[in-house]
Amino acid sequence: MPPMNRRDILLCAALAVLLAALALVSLVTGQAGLTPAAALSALFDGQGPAGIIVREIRLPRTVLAIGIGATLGLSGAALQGLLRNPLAEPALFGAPQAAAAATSLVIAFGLAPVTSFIAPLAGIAGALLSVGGLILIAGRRASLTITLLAGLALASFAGAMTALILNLAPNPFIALEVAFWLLGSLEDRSTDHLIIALPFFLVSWLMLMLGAKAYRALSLGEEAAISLGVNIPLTRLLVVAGVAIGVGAAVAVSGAIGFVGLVAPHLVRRAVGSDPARVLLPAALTGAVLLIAADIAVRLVPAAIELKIGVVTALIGVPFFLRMIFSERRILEGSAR
Amino acid sequence: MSDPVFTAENMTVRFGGRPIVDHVSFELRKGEMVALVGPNGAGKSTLLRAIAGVEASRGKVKLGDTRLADTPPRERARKIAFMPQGHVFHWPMPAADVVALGRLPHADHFSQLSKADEAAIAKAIAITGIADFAQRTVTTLSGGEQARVALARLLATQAAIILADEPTVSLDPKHQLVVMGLLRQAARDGGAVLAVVHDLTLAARFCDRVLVMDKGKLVGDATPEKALSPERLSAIFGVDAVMVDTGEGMVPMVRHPL
Repeated sequence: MPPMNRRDILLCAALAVLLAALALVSLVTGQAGLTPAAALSALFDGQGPAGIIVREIRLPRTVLAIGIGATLGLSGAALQGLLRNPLAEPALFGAPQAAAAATSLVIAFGLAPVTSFIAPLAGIAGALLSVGGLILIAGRRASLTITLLAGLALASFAGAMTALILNLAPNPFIALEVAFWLLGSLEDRSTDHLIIALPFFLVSWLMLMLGAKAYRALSLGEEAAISLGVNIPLTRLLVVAGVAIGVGAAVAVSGAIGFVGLVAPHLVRRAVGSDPARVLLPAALTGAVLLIAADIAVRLVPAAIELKIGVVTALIGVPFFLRMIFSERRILEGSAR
Repeated sequence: MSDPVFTAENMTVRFGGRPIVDHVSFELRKGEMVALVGPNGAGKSTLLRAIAGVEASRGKVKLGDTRLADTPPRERARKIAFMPQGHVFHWPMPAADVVALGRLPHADHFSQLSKADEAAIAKAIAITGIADFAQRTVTTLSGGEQARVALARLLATQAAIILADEPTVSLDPKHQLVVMGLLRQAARDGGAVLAVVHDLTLAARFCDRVLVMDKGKLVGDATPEKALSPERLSAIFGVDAVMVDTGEGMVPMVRHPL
């Protein structure tokens, strides 16, 4: 864990309280028409249909939102630390897209049931290929231009693979189901989904947090970091594997949810500054807050068909991304050298 | 004379089979300030990077009594501090936080800064004179200020060996003198400083000894007057130089190409 000052600890505590409050809201929000009081008592005693609704539908959904949000926020912060640029984010590097392609293949061709460990493993393999490929292409200098162009190419290729899989899917109903799943949603996720994803999330968090000191040293560039005793190949491996494991598992249970990894660290930097090590934990908490808030929002919007959370995060995330490019143009042009 | 803190015998660095540093042998001793000069592409930066552990090298290279290759990276980082060419600050962090990075090799993975770390950081900030802007964002500082922050980061490690690759590049004349003076002070305080210097006048004024590299080989290792004599400079750099007395000693001044 990186050294934190009092302000960082206060911020994390505040975020944790906000997250707990949102988790409660998430548990009492839904179409079943339960009052908040009834929902809360059902959570604790688990009796009757209300107990099933809260414990087996809303609780896994809430915990998944927290786990996925934290994974995405932390993945963004770690990638940004490794590559020393604030625009790094798993979705810009094709990680969720590649994970989605690999998982689609498994689901569309009926290679494994959705709730088996095969789905996240396929997702992880896909994400590993894209993030690993990107880090290889970006190379030692990790210039912004090359990184983003390579990410665009990888994301486009993963998108084409997904389209090919849908195109060749043996059963049109399954193809439709996969297409909907790709939009990203936490609807109707069960404890089984939670059980297959959570271990991967924990491993991913550990791997990404281990690099804290290295990300900090890398702010002086790769040569200075090596001279300070940082093992760059190991750091790179930890980030690539950590992002792939976390994002791969997240995509396998929820479909593609993007831009949390871009937005969360950016918001956090305003409060804790740019030290890439101090951004990590608050970025994870902020990612969880953002995703659970988005998931509550999609349940509150009155619509015949529930909005997909991946659609919402992209609709908010992309304009945010554009604004970020615009407002940080000077810095970005500087770091693109 | 004290025992050497660093010894290279036939130190060689190859890129794709081509020797960039070719069987170089020299020593560094406590308290001395050494300039590394030579034409562009002579292998000076590569030699520095190899000593700092950024590039792998071959030959009998020793840090005190132990082989450099056998020294664990963190221990090496505590003993050898390295400032690469150009001052890179990728994130807009406060200058004081940048200086604190110099203590990374001393901290374990989970710890906060220790008392010794705090003292080393405060000392580095004080001697480089950056206290006034230590809380300012490093990326907003002027080139001269950034150079001093980078130097403070280098000194905060309190390493026995200090390597600086072109520490005065793109600095105004006053800051060139400030930086060279600080490096020499670090040597006088018990370090061994090896700096790549392109300004031969600065090298002669501030350094006790000059290593001259050309095409990967060490072709000179002597006092500034001998290593930077007009004859040597014309042979290595192809320039016409004269020795000028500045009142603080003789320094070479380049007149024009031969």
